[in-house]
Amino acid sequence: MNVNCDQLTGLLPDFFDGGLSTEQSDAAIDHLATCEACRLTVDELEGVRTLAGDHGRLELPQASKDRIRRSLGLD
Amino acid sequence: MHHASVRTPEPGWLFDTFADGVYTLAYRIIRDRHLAEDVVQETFIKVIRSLASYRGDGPIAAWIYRIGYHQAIAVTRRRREEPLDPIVIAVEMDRPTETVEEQVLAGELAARLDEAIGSLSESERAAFVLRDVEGLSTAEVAAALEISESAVKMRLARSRETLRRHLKEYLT
Repeated sequence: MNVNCDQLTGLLPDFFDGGLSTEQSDAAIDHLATCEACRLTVDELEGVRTLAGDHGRLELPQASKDRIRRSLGLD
Repeated sequence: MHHASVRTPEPGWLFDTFADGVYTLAYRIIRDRHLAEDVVQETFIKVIRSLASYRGDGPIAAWIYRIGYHQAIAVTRRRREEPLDPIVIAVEMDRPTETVEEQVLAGELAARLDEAIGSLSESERAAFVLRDVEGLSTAEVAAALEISESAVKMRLARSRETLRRHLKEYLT
């Protein structure tokens, strides 16, 4: 199985989140080995996920945590 | 982060484990920190009230985020017209082990990420935050948002593509 750039784009949701068949996965990897543009796109999409994981999470301020815990009767 | 399923969860443990995640989801949807705090409170009131009826038959993270998501969406519907009170992201960074330069860069990144996530639609934001920020599985996100896994993947693909365009300079 061979895929072109458009077909690879269609496979990306399953590529990142599971669901590609072995054949599709092999075809995606083969395409990425030869296509620099798609490789860059996939690297950048990986970068988005890393950035989101590293910087996207917010912490509820401790004073608010304490207040909510008290209001819930947890202390 | 992956939250394991627990059969008899203790309320305090649930709060300590999921409060930041629910706050993150709520803030990313509403973009107002006080309203996001209210969502956390309302969510855990509901969680604790319904705990007796929770049978441990599904991932607990998905159950809690589903309640949080409904609360957050209800707030955006009610408060659509009111001014927002966004977090000053850079001020909230607390990374004492980093150099000043690293802290500035991390603050700038966080602010740009905040802006970029804010440019997504509400439904894209929820899927993206639960999967790529909170680290739930695609199946858990689908359960939390009550949509199919393929719908989750579509929203994720659109979100990541939008963020890729917004954040290009930080990605290579």
